[in-house]
Amino acid sequence: MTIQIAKPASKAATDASTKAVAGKSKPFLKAALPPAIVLVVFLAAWSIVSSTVYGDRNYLLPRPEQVLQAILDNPDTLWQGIRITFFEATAGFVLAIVVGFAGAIIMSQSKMLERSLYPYAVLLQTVPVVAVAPIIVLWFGYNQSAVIVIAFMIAVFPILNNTLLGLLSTDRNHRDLFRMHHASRTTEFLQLRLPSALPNIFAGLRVSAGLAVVGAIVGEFIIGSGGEEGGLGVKVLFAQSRLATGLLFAEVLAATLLGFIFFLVVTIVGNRLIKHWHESALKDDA
Amino acid sequence: MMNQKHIDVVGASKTYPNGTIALQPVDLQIGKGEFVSLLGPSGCGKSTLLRIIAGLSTPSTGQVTIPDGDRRAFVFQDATLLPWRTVARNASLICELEGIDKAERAERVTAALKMVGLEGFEKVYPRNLSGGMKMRLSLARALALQPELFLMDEPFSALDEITREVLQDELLRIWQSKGFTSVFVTHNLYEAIYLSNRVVVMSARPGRIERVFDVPFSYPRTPELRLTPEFTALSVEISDCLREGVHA
Repeated sequence: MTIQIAKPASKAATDASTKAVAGKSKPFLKAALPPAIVLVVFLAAWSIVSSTVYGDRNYLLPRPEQVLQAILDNPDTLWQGIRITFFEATAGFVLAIVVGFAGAIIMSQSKMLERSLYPYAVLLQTVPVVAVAPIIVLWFGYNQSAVIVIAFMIAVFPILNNTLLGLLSTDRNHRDLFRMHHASRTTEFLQLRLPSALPNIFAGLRVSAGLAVVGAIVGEFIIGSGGEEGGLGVKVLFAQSRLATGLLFAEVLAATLLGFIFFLVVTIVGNRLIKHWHESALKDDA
Repeated sequence: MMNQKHIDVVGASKTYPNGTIALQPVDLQIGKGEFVSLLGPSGCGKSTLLRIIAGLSTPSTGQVTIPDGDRRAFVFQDATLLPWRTVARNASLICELEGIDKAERAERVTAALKMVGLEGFEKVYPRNLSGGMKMRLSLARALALQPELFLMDEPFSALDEITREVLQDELLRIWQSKGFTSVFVTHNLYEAIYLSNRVVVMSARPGRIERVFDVPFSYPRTPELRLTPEFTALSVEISDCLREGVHA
């Protein structure tokens, strides 16, 4: 009886592993080619619009090669901006993770706590942080700590909300199973609630990663400086005031890249953690 | 078959805070090593009664007595596996929770996986298993505890007919070799008869025990049993009883 069943089953396992091996190399080209074509078309269109529509007023829309030139001419400026903004966004993001996790874990401990605190968490989320930013600057001064706090405030709610949602949606039967076998609250949290919340947690982290960069740049806009020293936000304002649009575009590009890298790192870490089991992390072999 | 009382349910009932009566007071004695099915339509309180026996639900009145220190294992309708754990680590979960030490656990897991025909799949993740294999793993996880009491809540109801019949035979084989007491909830009367020493027919609104049938067929049972006139006669009798319960 047993042998009869084991046969088709082990075939299924072999199928899965061959697929995993075959699915590595070839599809890369297939996946990379279409977006690459779109990029080339986009750059060509940009260049044409810049030289024909704007002509000698093309300081409003510099050609792609002018942006590239700006990058090559100002590597130190860009690198400094990236470094400073990266630091502020990272600090804000880490702070948001710590506070968001702590808040969600506290609220998930009892219905009572959740009911009393959750409405305020939602309400706080609707506060336009950009409008509050001047107050933050008033409290923390025109310096980096104000920027970090603004990045934190923009990034914290998606983490808090999604983590809480994940911690509260543990399967009922799983919980019964753990309780029936006398699992402690800590065991239940570490072995059941936390791992089953991971997909939600990383959904929140992905959103917040991008927002932390946005927050850092908004913060830099507000603290300003009038000079060129500072993060990408400060540099963007300075370049705009001097109509140095080639550099301006290069800085926006750098900020975009920074946000993308944040998003990518979080996505990669998340997929590594849940790669064996969650639909969102699975390749097409499912 | 009923040598020695193992589970003693006395006047157990369940009323929910909103006033719904899930189960009227019931009495039921189950002998050591017996295989008893709770059979009935949805809403008859069969799952409620099983959850009370499992200790997952407290009865509103009455009580359930089982010997001190007897281990209860519960198998849910879906396999309730942890998708982030491999087959082997899923199989060891209950033992881990119960604090059984590592060496002992590893031995038990190996034995349990072998028993359900999942040896060689230790490192596979549940998503690569078929529905039938998931349920095998769920059974193995419970078996690794070496329970005196095996409680199952419609474990095969989501499986196709062929897989279900194969698993019924495997369950009977394991039950006969281990000798634990089994309580099996189902709404499938052929399944109830095929597996059990006794079939407890329950009816709904409010949930209660309608009648208890003895199943006279000896073990080991084989699929041919389903084709005998005696099996059919008992099926008809229980089916009539189920229908009466619905009309009442």
